[in-house]
Amino acid sequence: MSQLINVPLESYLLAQKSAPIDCLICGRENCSSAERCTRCSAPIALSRLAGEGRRAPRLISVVGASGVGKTVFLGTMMDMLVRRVGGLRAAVRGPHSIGLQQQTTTALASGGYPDPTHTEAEHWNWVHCQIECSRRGRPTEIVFADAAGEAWAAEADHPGAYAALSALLAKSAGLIVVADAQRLHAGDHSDDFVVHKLLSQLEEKPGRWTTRTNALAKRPLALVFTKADVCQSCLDRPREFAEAHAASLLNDCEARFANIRVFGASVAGCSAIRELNGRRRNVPLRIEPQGVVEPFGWLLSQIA
Amino acid sequence: MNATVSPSSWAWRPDEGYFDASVVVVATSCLVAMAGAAGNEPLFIGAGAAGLCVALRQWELFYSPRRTSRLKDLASRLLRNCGPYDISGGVEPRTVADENGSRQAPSSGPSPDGPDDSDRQHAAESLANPPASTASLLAEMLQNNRYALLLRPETADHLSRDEYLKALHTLDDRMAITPEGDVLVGMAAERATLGDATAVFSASTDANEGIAHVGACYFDRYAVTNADYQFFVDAGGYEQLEFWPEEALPALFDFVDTTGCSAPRYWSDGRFAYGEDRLPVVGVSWYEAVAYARWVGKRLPTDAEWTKACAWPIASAPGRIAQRRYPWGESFDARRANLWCTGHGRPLDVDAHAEGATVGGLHQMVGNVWEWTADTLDAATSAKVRFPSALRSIRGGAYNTYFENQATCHFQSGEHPLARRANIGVRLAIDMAGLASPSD
Repeated sequence: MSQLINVPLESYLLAQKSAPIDCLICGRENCSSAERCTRCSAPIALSRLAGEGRRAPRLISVVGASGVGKTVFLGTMMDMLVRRVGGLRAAVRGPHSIGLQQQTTTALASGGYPDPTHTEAEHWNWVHCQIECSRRGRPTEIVFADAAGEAWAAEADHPGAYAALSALLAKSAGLIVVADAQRLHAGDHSDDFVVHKLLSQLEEKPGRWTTRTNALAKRPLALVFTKADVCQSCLDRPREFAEAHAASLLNDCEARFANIRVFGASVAGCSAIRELNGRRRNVPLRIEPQGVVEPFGWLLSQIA
Repeated sequence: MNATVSPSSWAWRPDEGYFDASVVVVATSCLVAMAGAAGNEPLFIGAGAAGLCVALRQWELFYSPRRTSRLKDLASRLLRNCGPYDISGGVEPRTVADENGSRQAPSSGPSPDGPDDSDRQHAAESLANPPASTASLLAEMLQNNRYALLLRPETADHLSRDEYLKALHTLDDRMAITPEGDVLVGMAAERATLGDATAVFSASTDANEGIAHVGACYFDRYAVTNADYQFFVDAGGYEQLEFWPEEALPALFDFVDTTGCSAPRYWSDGRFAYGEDRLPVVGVSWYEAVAYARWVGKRLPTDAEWTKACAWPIASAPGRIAQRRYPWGESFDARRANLWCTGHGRPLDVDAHAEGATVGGLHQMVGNVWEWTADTLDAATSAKVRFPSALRSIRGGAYNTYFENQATCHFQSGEHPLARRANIGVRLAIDMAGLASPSD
């Protein structure tokens, strides 16, 4: 015998279903009350804020293998931009955009490096900010993610493993390729292969960029050598450093992208291996950012 | 004053009272040889060449011994006048007294406050451009900021009262005293000030908990400037090996500027850029700082001395010390120091930000450029913590120091001793006990 049960009509649930929101990154339709995209785990707040503006924000991919210093580089860059530097000033949009800056500066000010970024996409830090440039009148909306190097490696080996990374690569208006100057200076080129694989994927992606003639190749690419404090010549003459120590990476980037520029950057003035109770730990002895904002400034000038 | 032979002063030397006949021989020989070449006469060509050889040989015999002997005479005369100290290095005597009063050689190995082989003979060898008299030597030493050498007891005995007072006034003008006393170091200083000892990491995090006692010493009021360092470069400091620690000698060839001359890294042709005379000298390694310190008769300060001079602690009770976090007080003030947040992005003149001076009158102890000290990071850390690379301690923060808590009076960082950074400079000290007192 069946029973009749009175179920209250949750009108707000219906409203949500009737007004779904598309993820800014992967395009998946999500419930408007969702916190993260069900497919790529990007914050839905990005999509909400993007919907408020007249122009869609420009996506930037920050590509690099594990341990090359993406988090320290991006977190310090955001902190500097918020404090206004080099004619650039950032206004972060949404509380989710402050996490990267907060984690990085807290760790650096305490004399350590931030913990490695989680491999799971829901733990990545996404940044949505409005960049004002003193030389341009209109601010530019930028969105980028600090993804784990292991995730980029997995995406390189298995395209589509991370929907967010796959979508970012396809939609991004510009790329920042991060490489570790310290490892390259020591002759370790193992990280290069991750970038090689990811760049080669771009040619296969049926994104909107590839439908336009040479659109892919016209995207600006900033090749950034981090941890350049160990090699002053990398800061002084990054192009020569690339030719001497990262020729294959440079050649690959130049073969695929027409608009490329090489930068050297360092956040720590000096680092040291600290042995405490038999455990070795890399620590920054002081924080002296050099060349951190320049790649982003150049990229903005190219995409704006 | 310059005794070197220059081509423009060969022929007639009224100041030295002789006429160089060899010039006539050279001229004549050249004419004969040229005439022979024009007329294709081997005899004339041979005669001209022979004349040239004779004249050149005469020059060698005439000038070299005379010049050498004059230099030696002058050097020995100066040494007699100045007494038993190393006029060339301004460094500690070669021998030191042991507990029994007997003299023994100092221990070998690098030391920031004295060379390994200072010798009075070095004075004669290093005086390539000796002054003509003791008075001019004194004037030159004062001008070159080598007044500390004149105030050593063994030297001051040979000075007149006026000369001594002149050197003393120069010292008072350019250096400030830091009194003897105790100072909080390491994390003890961090806890005693407004810092969060659990959050801030310094290179000396786990070490030197507590109080250090330092003796009275003089500190440079300003960091060493480009103009100061130019005297050292011009005097051939990079070629005078007695000033350099032994292990630095292989690296001397790397201590060059942008044009390959022996000078700080960012100089050109052995000179600093126009208009930068009051900027702190940067691009110098720890060894160059030590060599310069020896040349002017000073030394690099220890970490404890540096902290005491900067924080100016006050012992309110036995074992209770109150000291500042910054030279002016407890909280950071961007108007008083040149850090990243002030936005200059480059070093300023050493007398800029005068309002940030310490109680003792030392300028820019915090900000502008880091300053080398005599200590190593290993010396400042406990046995549990080790930095595998041999890093030297630096203090004070620089124009590009990002966090204010890394530019406090007690924050310590480190750098490789061979590094020649654009944000590391030099400030020197001397022991008060090592100076002759006016009463003596």
